[in-house]
Amino acid sequence: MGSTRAKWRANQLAFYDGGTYETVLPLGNQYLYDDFFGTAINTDIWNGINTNEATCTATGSIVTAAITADVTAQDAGVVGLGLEWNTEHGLIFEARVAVAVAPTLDGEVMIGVQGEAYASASNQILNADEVASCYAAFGFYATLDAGLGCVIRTYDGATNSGIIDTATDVAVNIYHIYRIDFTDISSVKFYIDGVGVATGTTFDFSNGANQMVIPVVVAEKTGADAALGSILVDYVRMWQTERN
Amino acid sequence: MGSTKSKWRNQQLAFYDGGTYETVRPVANQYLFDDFLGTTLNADIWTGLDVGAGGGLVAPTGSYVSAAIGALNENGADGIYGDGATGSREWNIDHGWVFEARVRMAVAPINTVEMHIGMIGENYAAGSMCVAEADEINFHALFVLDGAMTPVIYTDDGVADNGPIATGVTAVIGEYNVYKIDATDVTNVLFYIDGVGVGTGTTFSLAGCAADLMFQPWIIIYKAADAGTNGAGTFRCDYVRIWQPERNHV
Repeated sequence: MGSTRAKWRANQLAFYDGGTYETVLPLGNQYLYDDFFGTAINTDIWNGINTNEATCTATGSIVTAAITADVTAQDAGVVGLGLEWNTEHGLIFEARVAVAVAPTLDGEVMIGVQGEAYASASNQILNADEVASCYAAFGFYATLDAGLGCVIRTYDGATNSGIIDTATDVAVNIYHIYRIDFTDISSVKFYIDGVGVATGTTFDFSNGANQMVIPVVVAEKTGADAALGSILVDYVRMWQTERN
Repeated sequence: MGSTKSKWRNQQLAFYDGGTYETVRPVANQYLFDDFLGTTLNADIWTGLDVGAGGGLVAPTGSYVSAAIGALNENGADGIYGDGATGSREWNIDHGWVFEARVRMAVAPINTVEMHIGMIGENYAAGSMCVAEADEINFHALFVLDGAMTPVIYTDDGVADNGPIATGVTAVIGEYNVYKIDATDVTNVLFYIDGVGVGTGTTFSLAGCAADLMFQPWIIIYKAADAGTNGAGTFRCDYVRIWQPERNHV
């Protein structure tokens, strides 16, 4: 726990935890905050997906989402229902997530946003590049550091960043705060626990106009093999400095 | 209505109403606020209790929730509590939660009926949730009202069992009070009514609780099974806020 502190970015006030860098109260015009209280995922906001043998449950203010070894297409996690966030209106996405089981084989974890409805069995951005419209996300996949090396990938419909290593490895069951800041659409910023990552890359998201996105925090596999993967989602916050 | 004012407690910022001392916006990592707008109790946050004949829990209307104990001589429990029935208590005693609720009595509790406002560290167990008439909740921090309408404080961490401790406040039928319980320092939990510290001559420690024991809100009018007496009592709850400056899972 740290002291309450204030920050001023893009002429916007927000309060954050000076110890963990969690943005505890952004004063954004449009604001979503879900702590996952209770024992049901709020279906007015989220699609809590658990395709085939995958599981997705809420309890103790945590969403636990897992894909299993069954050789089937599986998706587990929380996905926004509507395209309600405009990347040109100062969008910031933040989620506190722990990798509970590192993704193996064809499995991957995606933490970020995308510009189309989630497509079960064909929504990969690391093992494949299947989201056609646009996306910006952190991710984990077996290729890097046994599934515990955090990467970034963005695609704005024109420019694909490719898979960029953040040089941050996580430990199993340890939470980190992942933030994606679209305040400057020509240079989207990525942070882990308040520290900028992949700062040597310019992530341009300026293609198109008013691209609308949904939050996506999932573990997923296409069904090609017995891949595993599991995540714990503590909270998701999104805010915008201008209304849609 | 008072001016917006700010306070800085435990290095945490919060805004409050300078007139009523309602904490209108704590700037906290984990935050729950229910104003009971609409006409349905949010079942993802609350469990509604309607135990015993007569009385019952009334769905929210006019931005409050209300409940009454019936004129019964058996066990009754009416009101709202967290989702602990399913093991999802969500407030960590070691992470500095603060509970606040605005409550008024419409009918004073009589005979063995007791009104509970606060937090408990266990799940609901039918028929055994007395605090004043018996000591049946192992872990709690509660304001309790009976027919005298003078809120008293009870705490129990499994080691130290305090209560009833007088607050010196007399509640009035039909008038709201803001009840706050501040567990920022688990060795010295503080109680406030309308912004004024109460029970300040007693040190209420919840440090005897197991590490990271999870609590849940508990706003219930309760009557033990008692064949000898009927009960009565009705309350309204205007809002509940709970916040924590540190997340449950670190």
